[in-house]
Amino acid sequence: MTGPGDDTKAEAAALWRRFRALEGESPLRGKELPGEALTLAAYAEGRLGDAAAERVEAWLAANPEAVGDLAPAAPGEATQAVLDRAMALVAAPDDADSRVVSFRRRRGATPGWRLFAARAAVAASLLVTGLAGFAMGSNVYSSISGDGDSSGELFDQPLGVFSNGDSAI
Amino acid sequence: MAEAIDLAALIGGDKGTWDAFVRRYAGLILSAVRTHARDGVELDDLVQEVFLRLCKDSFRLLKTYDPTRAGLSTWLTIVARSTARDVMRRRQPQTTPYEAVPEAALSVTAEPIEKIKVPDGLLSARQKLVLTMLYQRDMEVAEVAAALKVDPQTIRSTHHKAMLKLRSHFAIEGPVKPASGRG
Repeated sequence: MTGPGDDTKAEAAALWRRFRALEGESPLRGKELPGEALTLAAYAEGRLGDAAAERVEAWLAANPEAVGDLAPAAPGEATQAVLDRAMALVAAPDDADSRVVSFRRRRGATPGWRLFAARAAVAASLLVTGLAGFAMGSNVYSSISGDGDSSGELFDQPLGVFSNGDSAI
Repeated sequence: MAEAIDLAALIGGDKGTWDAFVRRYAGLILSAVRTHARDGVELDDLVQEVFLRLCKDSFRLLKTYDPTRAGLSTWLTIVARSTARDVMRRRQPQTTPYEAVPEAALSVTAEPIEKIKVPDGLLSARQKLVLTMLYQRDMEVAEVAAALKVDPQTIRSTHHKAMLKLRSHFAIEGPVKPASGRG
């Protein structure tokens, strides 16, 4: 059976819902609280000044799921398995299995002349490859165009496919 | 006997201090995240997630703790619940509770007949928070008072003043009225 108190509460809830619907979503919704847990903890302990407390309350009103964080937790007891698992997150300093062995640092910088020689060798090989490729390409072009230019000394003249009608077989 | 925790040694990665820290606060963290877990295995996992978050990246989160601003137990409780919430949110698909969606977003009409404006500052942050806790979180007055560390009568008073403002505001604006010769 509902009483006057229930009607009042229902009316108040309806008024609040109407207000929320018209106000829309707060810009603080989903945003992080500046100072995060420490600010909230200070608020929970009543250590914040009025202005800071008001900012936290505005944030809590926009993020009501965090309201439950304020209540103090009742004392509990963890099992030894839980304790062991958590303790294992930090290894002992003399645990050989967890020691990180770094690569040995190379002594001294690479001599300048070695670097120059390496780069010169790469440049030279690129140049030789380019020249050889150009020569081969010129040779093929000459053969196709029928100049009869036998400047392509690197390779024998191809027969058959690329020779023109004037070429002797 | 409670062991005193040397925070400097703790964030310095001292193994002995870390073990003492775990022994002292594991129960508190377990209690804090209990309501977020569906079973015992999940509860143990949540506790481990909290400790992992505290020590990862060279104890980055622990280094943000300032004992001059709040007690370690309070801070750990909040960190634990926040971590548990994040973990459970990642495990569940994102949904928006029906009641969290403003009515205007659910409307099927193209345009509301009349938009009643709500002036900024109609309700204070504290009033909004109290109403949120009472009507959205479904908390009792005593629970709200305990959470905000005030007297229950203060909560009733805050609620009453907020209701007076809302009733006054909506009574003046009212529902949609037919065209009148006013003004």
